[in-house]
Amino acid sequence: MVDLRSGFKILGTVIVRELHRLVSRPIYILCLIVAPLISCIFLLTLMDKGLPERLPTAVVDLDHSTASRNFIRQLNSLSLIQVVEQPNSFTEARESLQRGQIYGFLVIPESFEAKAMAGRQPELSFYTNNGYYIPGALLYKGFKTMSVLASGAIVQQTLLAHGQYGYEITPKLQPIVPDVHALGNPWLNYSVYLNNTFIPGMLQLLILLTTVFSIGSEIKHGTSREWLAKSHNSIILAITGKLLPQTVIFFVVGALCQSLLYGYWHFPLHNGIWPMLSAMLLLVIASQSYAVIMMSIAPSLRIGLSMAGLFGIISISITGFSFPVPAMYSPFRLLTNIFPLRHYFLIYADQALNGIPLYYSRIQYLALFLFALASLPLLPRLKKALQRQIYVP
Amino acid sequence: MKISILKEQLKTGFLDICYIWRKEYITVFRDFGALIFFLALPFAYPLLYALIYNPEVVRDVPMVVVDNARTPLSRELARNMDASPNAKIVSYCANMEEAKELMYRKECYGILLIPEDFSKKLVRGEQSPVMFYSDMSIMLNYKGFLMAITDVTMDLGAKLQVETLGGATPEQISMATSPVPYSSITMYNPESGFGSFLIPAILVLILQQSLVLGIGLLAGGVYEHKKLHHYYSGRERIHNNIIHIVLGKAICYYSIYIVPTVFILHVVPWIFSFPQIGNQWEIYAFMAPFLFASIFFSMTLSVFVRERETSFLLFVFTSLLFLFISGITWPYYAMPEFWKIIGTMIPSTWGIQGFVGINTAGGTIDDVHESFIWLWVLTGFYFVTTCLVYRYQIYKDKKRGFKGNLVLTDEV
Repeated sequence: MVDLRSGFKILGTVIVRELHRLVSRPIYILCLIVAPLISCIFLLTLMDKGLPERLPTAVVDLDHSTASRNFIRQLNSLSLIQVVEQPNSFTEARESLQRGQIYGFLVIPESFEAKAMAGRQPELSFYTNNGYYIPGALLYKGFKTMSVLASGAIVQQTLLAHGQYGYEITPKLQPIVPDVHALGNPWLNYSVYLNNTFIPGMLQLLILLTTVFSIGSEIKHGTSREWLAKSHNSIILAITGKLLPQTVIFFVVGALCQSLLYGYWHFPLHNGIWPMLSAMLLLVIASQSYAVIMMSIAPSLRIGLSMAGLFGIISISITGFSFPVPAMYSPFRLLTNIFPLRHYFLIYADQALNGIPLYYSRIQYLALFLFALASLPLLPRLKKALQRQIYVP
Repeated sequence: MKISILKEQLKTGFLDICYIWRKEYITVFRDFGALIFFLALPFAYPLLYALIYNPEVVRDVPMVVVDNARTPLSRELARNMDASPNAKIVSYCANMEEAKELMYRKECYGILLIPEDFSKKLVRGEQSPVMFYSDMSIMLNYKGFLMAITDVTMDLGAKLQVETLGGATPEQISMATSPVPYSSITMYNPESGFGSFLIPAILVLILQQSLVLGIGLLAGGVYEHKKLHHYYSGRERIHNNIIHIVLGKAICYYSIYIVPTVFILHVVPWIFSFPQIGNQWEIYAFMAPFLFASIFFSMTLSVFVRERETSFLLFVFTSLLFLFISGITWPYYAMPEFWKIIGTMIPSTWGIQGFVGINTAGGTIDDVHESFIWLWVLTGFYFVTTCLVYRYQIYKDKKRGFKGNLVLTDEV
């Protein structure tokens, strides 16, 4: 066994060796620094507006009356909606929808005004293209608001004509008012909801791939025995020396992404940066540990990378920040627990978005910590593979 | 005389393309890694994604009620909330502290707070607010809660309005409560399912990305093992025509991709009953330029692959970026100009928009002609870039000294 002092010395030489490898190939620079940062900036600038505004919409006005034109003007004044065309028939509007020029349309029936005045209940109908999820949902909201308001305006007129006072009318129109508080994200900012987890997800994917690649290419290029020899045949020192520089770089890049999220873009961060930074550090190490596990199970570069890619891509879906975990089928509900990103997402929701006491995130931190240690029992297996040094194309 | 020369040239060219085509088949079918990308990946990924998103909608999201009013009316409000498909009341809490504790422990995602004077205000003829607090970590939960609370309060409100009318006929009641009724029709994705919206985009993207990865892997192998000369030595008699190489390879990949395309675009939507109202033949006709554009796009990108396995490192993460730039989640018109231009250059952007237009929205190729034309433009563009890239690589390869009539061996 090596003593502590010479252990550090050996570690130092392995780290230096790894640093030389990292700077010798542009692909490492790309995966360690360029790709995560480009992805981060791409996603943040893409959704800079937070919520799409002025969705292209059409109104089929079959009435052509003062009331219908007034209604269209009111609809257009919503920040959500922009009436870009006024087709003459339902069919024309539908074709426009199929061409993707609009995301939805509203039909004002014939003799809308006359019927409304006479109390014969003209029906407004609106059509939204829910093949596009966000625009569909937003348009539905806008159309519904305007339709309810149109009803309200008529009731108001009627009640005024009946001689009621203005202050009596509002409670009649809407006796119970729901006052909905969107905790932590009152702007319903789509970027806040998505990028807080999606960007770490991208980072995790790149960590998995890079780690697998850096271990696997030692086997492929026949340098793994030399690597082990340099670390005095200690797999712990070999792996630590190899992964430590990458840990540091990935953590710095991750922290930079977080600083963009919480510093530059001012996303909600209720408990300060430390809980998130520590979650990021744990996510980086846990992902590296998963990559080591993959290489230990299948010490082939291509199979390892296939697993890393599959795991990294799927974890973004299975984490359940877009489609919630309780709604998934039960095997996926169980499976989601072994994904580091899932726990990072829960920590983010608790610590950054909702700002609840650290105590409630303890299980998540613990899970990430255990994932980081999970590769240790498999290291002897990896060592054997490194000694065998067999490349499978 | 001239015509016969032209005929002869065409014949040689055609045979040369077929030669490359056959050669590439041998390469692909002897390469286990490439086969996984071309055949296994397009079969496995769609199923996996479809299974994750197949539940489509979120029902019965847990919430709690803090009822400070404790009147029949407040209880009715809570009951109606529980009865709505989107929400499920898991507990009635004594106060907000208790409710918050449950929310911290993730046993609920929303809190309905009914104030003490809820019924009093209503009886007095004042507006009576109720508070709803929703967790925002998952947008779908919020969306469900918002719809539930809006509908429930409106219905209960309408019921109260009716009570004040006293002795009115049903017709008078419906006139008084909704003089302008409305109906909402959600088209092409009637239940607003999450899978039905996302899966079509993922399907198209899988086609493109598996091509990018597979062709990258093959190119990496060729580069790594310095096998590029296999593609030009022995073909001097037709001056190493680059177009033949590019076309021969493209036809090889194209023919391999017929089966995955049919599986992905026809069988997967059919198994999981995703919306598919478009004409199947229109879809295939539309996919023709998409496949060509993707193949040439992949062949151009493959120049950056220097080693079989770096294909993963270079291209896997781009899948996620391409999905976003296609405009299926974040609407295309709301993107910054710069990303729109980049998006225009990616085949999947037009592939997804066109496929959703035909498959999901039941359009024709004429309806999505913008995407269709763009795909042909990209096919042309990437064909030219591929030729340039191959020309450059062969030029460099020759310079390195691999020129000459090497005897072709079976070892490819």
